[in-house]
Formats: sequence, C-alpha cells, structure tokens
Amino acid sequence: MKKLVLIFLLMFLFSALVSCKDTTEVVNENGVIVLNNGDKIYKEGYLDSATTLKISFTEAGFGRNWLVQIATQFVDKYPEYMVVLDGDPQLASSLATKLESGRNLSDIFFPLNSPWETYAYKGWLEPLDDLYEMIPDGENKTNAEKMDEVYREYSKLSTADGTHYYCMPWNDTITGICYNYNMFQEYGWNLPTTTDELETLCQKILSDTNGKIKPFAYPGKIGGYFDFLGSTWWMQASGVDEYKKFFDFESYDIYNSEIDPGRGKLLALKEVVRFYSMDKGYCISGSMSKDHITSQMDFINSKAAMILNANWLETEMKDSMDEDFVMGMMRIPYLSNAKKDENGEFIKVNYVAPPDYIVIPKGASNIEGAKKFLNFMNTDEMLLLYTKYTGSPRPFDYDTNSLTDLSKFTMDCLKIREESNNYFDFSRAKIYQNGYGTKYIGGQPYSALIRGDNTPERFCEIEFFEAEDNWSTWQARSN
Amino acid sequence: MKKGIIAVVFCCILFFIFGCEDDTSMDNKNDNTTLKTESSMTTDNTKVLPKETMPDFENTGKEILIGVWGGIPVQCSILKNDEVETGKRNWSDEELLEQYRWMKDVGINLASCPIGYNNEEHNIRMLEAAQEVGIKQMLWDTALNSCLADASLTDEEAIMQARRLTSEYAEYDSYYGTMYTDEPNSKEFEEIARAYRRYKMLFPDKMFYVNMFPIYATSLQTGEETYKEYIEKYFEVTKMDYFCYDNYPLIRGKGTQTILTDNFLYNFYAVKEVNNEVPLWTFLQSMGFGNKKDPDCVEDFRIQINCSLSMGCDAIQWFCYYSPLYGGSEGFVPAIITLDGKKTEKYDFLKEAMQELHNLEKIYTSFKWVDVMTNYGSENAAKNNNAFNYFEITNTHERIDAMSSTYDFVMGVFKDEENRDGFMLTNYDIPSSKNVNHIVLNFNNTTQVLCYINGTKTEVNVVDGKIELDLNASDGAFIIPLNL
Repeated sequence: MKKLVLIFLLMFLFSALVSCKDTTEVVNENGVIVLNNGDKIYKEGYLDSATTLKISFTEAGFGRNWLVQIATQFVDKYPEYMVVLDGDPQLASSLATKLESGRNLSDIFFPLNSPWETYAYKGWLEPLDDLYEMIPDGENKTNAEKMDEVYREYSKLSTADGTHYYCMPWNDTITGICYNYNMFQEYGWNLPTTTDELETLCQKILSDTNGKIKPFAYPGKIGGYFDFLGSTWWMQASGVDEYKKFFDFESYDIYNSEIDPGRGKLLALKEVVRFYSMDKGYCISGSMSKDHITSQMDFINSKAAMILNANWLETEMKDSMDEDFVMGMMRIPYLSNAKKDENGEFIKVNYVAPPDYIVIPKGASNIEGAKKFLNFMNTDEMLLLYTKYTGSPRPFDYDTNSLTDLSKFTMDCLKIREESNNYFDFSRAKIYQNGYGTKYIGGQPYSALIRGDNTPERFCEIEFFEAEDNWSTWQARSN
Repeated sequence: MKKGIIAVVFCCILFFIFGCEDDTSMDNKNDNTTLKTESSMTTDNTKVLPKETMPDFENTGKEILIGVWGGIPVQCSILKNDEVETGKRNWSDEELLEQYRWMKDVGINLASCPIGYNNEEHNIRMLEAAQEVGIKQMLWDTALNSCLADASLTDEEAIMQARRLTSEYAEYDSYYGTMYTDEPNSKEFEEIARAYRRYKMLFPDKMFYVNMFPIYATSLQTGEETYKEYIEKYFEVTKMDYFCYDNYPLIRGKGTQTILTDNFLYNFYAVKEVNNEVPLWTFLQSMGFGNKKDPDCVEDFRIQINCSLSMGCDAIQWFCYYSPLYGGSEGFVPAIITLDGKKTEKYDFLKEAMQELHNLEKIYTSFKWVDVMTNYGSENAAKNNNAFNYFEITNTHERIDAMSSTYDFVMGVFKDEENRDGFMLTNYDIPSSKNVNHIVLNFNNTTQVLCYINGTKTEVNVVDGKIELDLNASDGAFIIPLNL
C-alpha cells in the first residue's frame, strides 16, 4: 500500500513537473485564474458553473493588460462569469462582416473608430439606454451623468427602433506632437507655443544636428495622423463653435474658404504645408511610404525629434523602445490666427479624433453580462486602473491626480486633456450619413499637399465648387 | 534506496506510456481539434474506397491566369528623389517591350490597362508587346463600353458599332477581352447585363471583365443590404459566368507583425456559398496603401496565394503591378514597378511566389474545389481563430480519420474528374512567424500520397495512411492520397 501511494505521489510529481501544454496560468491572491493572459479569466471553483462573457477588442496601441486587469477584478466581484478575451488588431475592419454574418458573435466588441451608426441602422446593435441609466457600483452618478457630454451626444442615434444609445465610449484621445524629451534636454530646445516658434525650432534642430536629425517623422501612408494637426489648427482658427457648425452640413457655404468655418480649414491646411512640404526639408525623406509603425520606429530611433501622434504612442511602442527613451507630448502650437479668450490667452483645444467605442451586438449570447461588465468598467476604480495601465484617460468624470508613477508622456497627455476644450467631429446630417457631404471632398488632401501635387487654395476652391454644384442633388438623394 | 529508484523508474515508465499526448499519436485526434472534428475521427465505419490510378496532370491540368491591376502607362514618370513626379516621357519601343518581358518573367500572363490616362495608340503598343512576349492583354475601351451599354441602341446596332470600334485591335492574338467596370453598385447590373450580352455576341471567346466589391463594402457601395444579396443579384441579373472581387488581407498585427484580415478567407467562402459552379477570380495585395501593409518578403505573397488556392480560387490578379501615383487619399506606395519604370525589391519576392504557383498549376487545375476544412493547432489553447469562425462546415471527410497540427491550418477539399481526393493545405500561421507547423494527417484507403509543397513535389512517407509534414510560415501543400 505504501509503495502504491509512493508510486502515485511520484507520478503526480512528475506530471506536475513536466508540462503537457505550453499554457500559462496565473492565479492571483483572490483566487482568480488568468489562463494564457486572458484566454480565460475565472474565479477558482467556478469554472464549471460560470457563464461565458466573450469580449473581442482591438489589441493594438494599448495592448491587452488593461482589459486583463479589469476582467480579473470583474470576475472576482462576479464569479458567476468567466471572461474570454479575443484580441484582434484589425477588429474595426472586420466588424461589419462579423455582425452581418451573425456567426460566433462576441458579447462585447471594442473596435477602433468605424461606422457603428450603420450597424445600428441595420438592427445589429443592442440599445444601451438601460446601461446609461445604471449607476456604477458604490457611486452616485449614472453612466450618462458621468460621461463627457460630446460622447453622450455622439452615442445617441435615431433608428427604425427609436432613439437610443447604441455605443459606450472606450478611450479618450489626446493628439499632439510627441517629442524626444532627452534630445530636447540635450540640445536645450524649448517647447514652442506658436507655430512661428515651431518653425524656429525646426530650423534650430537642423542646424544644431547638421541635418542629421530631422524635426519630423510621419506616416505618409495614413492620412489620418495629419488630420490631428489639420483639425486642431482648424479649431484654433475658426473656434470650436464654428468648427462644429461645419458638421451640421446646413449649406455648401461651409466649404467657402472666405468665411468660417471654411476659412479656418484653409488656414489649417496652409499651416500643414508650411511644416510638412517636401521642399521644406523638415521631415525624414521617404516618409510618404511609411506606415505608423515604421515612422514611429524612426522617432524612437532618434532619426527625428518629433512625431505627430496621440496618447497611445508610448504603450504601442514600449516593446521597441530603449529603456532610457523618454517621450513627451506637447500641445499643438497655436497658429497666428488662433482664437483667444477675453484675457487674450489662446483658447486651448484638443482634437480628440473619431472615437473608439464599445458595442454589444443584438445577437450576443450574454447581453446581461455584457452590460454588467461595462457598468463595472465605469467605476472610478476601474477608470483609474484603465488609465494606470494604458496611460490614457476614458471620457468620464474621474480624478486622475491620485495616480502615481505615471510617465512624463502620460502626465503631459492628461494635462492637455484637463486644460482643453476637447472635441471630435461627427454628424447626423443626412447628407453626411449618406456619404455626400464629407469633411474633405475627394478624401483627405494631405498627401497631395505635401507632395506639392495640389495647394490648399486650389483644394478648398475645388471643394467649394463641387459642393455648390451638387448640393441640391446630394440633398435630394439623402432625403 | 533501491526501492525508491525502482519507484521513480516505474513512475517514469508509467508517465511516458500514459502521460503527455504527442502531436503524432493517433490519440491526438481528440487533442487539438474541436468537438466537431473529434466526432468525425472514428475509424470504426471507414468506407472502403475502390482502387485509384496515378493521375496525369500534364493532360488534365492547365495554366492559371495571373493578371494585374495597373498595366504599363502611356508614358513613364520622371521622379524627383524617387518620390515626387516632376514630368513624364515617352517609352521607346525597346523600353516598353522590356516592361512586358519583366511582366512575363515575374509570372504574369494577363496584362491589364494602365491606371488613369490611356489612348488608342497605346492600346496597340500594349497588344503588340504582349504578343511579342507571349502573354495576353486586357483593354479598357470607354467608347466600346459606352456603345455596349447604350439602351437606346438595339443589340444589332450596338454590335455593329462595337465591331467598328474594335476593328483596329480585336484580331490580335494577345487581345483577351474588355474591362468594363470596377466595383459596381447593384443598380448598374442591368446595364452590365446588356453590355455583357452584346459583347459575347460579338466576341464569344473573349472576356467581358467586371470586378466586384469585397465583403467589407458597405450597403451604400453595393446597393444591397447584405453581401450575399449583392452576389445573388449579380448572378441573377448579369448572368455572368464568373465572379471577380478584390479583398486585400495584409495589415499590421501586434508590433511589427503582419497578419491577414479575418474576412479574407470568408470572402471566398461567401461567394462559393452562393455559386460554386463558376470560376472565382480575386485580387491579391502586392503593395501597401492606407492601413494595408506593404509586402516585404516572399512569405507575404506566398500566404496570399496559398490561402486563395485553399479556398478554390481560379485566377489571381495583383494590386498593383505598375505603381499608381504615390500618396493620394489612399496613401499609395510603390508597387512591383515604380512610377519611373524600375523594379522594386517586391519584384523578386513576387517572382519566387509565382514560380511556385506555376509549378503547381497543372495539378491544381486538375481538381475542383468542393469544401474547406480547418484545424486549430495545439498551440492555439483558446481554440479560436476569427478567420475560421465564419465557416459553417462539418469539418469531416470520409478520407480523413484524424488531423493534427502545432499551429492552425486551413485546407481546401477537392475532387478531380476521376473522383480522386485532393487537399490544399495552407499553414495559417502569420507570415512573419519563425515557427514550424508540424502537421499530421491520417488518411484511410491510402497506400501512396502525392505531395507538392509550394509547388515542388515532395516525398512523404506513408505509414498506415499517415503522413507528417513540417511547414514553415506561409507554406502550402497540395496533397493527393491515393489507393493504388
């Protein structure tokens, strides 16, 4: 008997020592098990009884750790759930196909910006009105009350099923010019406040480094990054209220570059050309062929002092950066026509960029669990945890000052957000929803402007003529 | 002490007999496959198949058509700093011919019209160059297209006009057909149907070419609520005898990885679900634009090809061959040939991948696609692959008792006219992976297996119907189990 017990004990010992599968299981102090960094997250003892909550998320700039942490806290509090994470870097481009097929749907989707309105119109999304009325545990404001107003407006839509909230905001974006902090310290370069000062800085960078370091890296293949700059300068020049009026699409006069908001657009585009035109020599050669990763590599490899980007940059590149690389985020400098307040101070604006969001598909298996999870995510505790792990805020009312050990980059981003009028553009105008009225008629103009294939004046002029000629047709077709 | 050592040794023996499952063991049929596969993996009721004969692909197979978007332009661009177009110049005859030789050498056998401006003189130059090197040429003739579509003309009038319009070039052997439109809305299908009917009356053996939207197009673009409805309406209204679309799969994954969009495989499947009787054409990605990654290794090209074959594709075209104007709203970068007519490094990658495809083509085209199967590898602990989730398949085959792998794979199921089975297996690991995918397939009624890895015939040992393959990232294997 003793021998048999010994044999079995040794068998157990050997089995434990030699792993059959290359799986990683982490058990935290509360007995929550995280399998393979999120394949399954459940509370010990509940595996067989827990209902599955499947979450598909864009695993890109912010990675996945933030969601693993939140999910861990969630199943600790609600052990009746098991969270299954599906990280998908290209979720936004495949979401429509998934929803249309209705096959193997997750319970929650976290895509990057994409046309959720279309999905709602097609009846693919679960209305979230009840979620908006829920109060996160232990708090006293509803999710709606806690949320930044622009996101609340954005998330509401009138469809055949009535007017409902259909998405929850995911991340708040802060855009700006990221800079190599150590390099700036080494050369004694100051952060510019105005674009005139920025141009002086560019020239200084070239002269101080004998042209070896360029002022800017940029991803020429992806025009969206330039729009951070273009839209910020547009908001500065026209003022946020006039900028918002553009997206009402009330008449083709919005494209008239002699009056706001069109005037602000022209000024902004001219300013982009001022810094990024190939003739100027402020940018790394060959950048037009680069995507976001390759241009960001140029930046962290110190080939350029600055890069136009947003608050996800540090997390996105952390595995590629040297340990001692420090980046900062500067507010986009003010162009000379930027609006000022009654005290003569420049009005601080932050272009948030089209937002990333969260939806629950109507065909999800666990809608109740999904809403519970999202409500849980909106507690102050989880909002702070999110910011701690991503370096990025969510658009809710919570105090990030309690967070310590944030990087310089994150602190710069949070400061910009705190001090700014934060806005992103969206429109419910039919002419926009039907694809006729657009922010830039013919597509984003930046590539052509930078190459010199077009000028800001000609671009805006053609836009105006196009809109003037076709406006009544667009309206008729949209109605 | 002695007793302790004996116990340890005995323990080890017990462990190795009953312990960890091995990828190559028969028991592994239940290991890394899903429940649906597990249920099919019994050998209890294996059907006995009749004896088969060795196939003769030389006589049954044919060339696969390989086309392009972006043919040789009317003029060659002059670039400053390799980036900015500052002017254009005419091609000499030798230069144009050299461009066509490069096309043929890289593996293309169907040239296309240029992007943007074209003229009648250039059409003739292209046809002659194509004829000289021995490839075919598509033309985009807007005057012809207008008359074919013109509803105010009778068919007879339209055909008479079309005959006159094409008189200068229709007799060239290299003339393959006319390009009519790209990504039409369903509202255009009636017009397309009219033009197609008339063109075929005039040129029954030539191609009337239309390229359709991919699965991720919006309803606004397609004109239909769902993609399925878009495909159904296309066949119903136009009565065309093939389906062609473009879906570009290479994007950035985590960090510097390349991954495939998960609707890439599904797009093929979605068309096949509606109509598996007609040829399926697709475009694959040979350049970067927008968020689409610029292919930078042969694996980026190879995996697209092999996946297309696994999904039963009949013809492949590359977007693009000759570069469009760089930048623009889509952020185009150089394609296979730069704007100023030079080869990029992608030329050699494409050439290598195309050679592999051409080596396989007679085998591949001897078979007809029937279905698809998928397998989660043992390393896929979550047993989830978003690209596979769209398929509604039984994932069983009467010829296969078990299958296992280290990483995921997708496998097309084929039959030839003699009822032989064929399987086109593609290693569905990311193209930048350094992992080797060890694959085990257990066939029944099999005494010999023909195996072509990336087009090269490869000896495989067959032990009681079982074969084992080691595939690198992007590799594909066409496998023919035979009961000789």
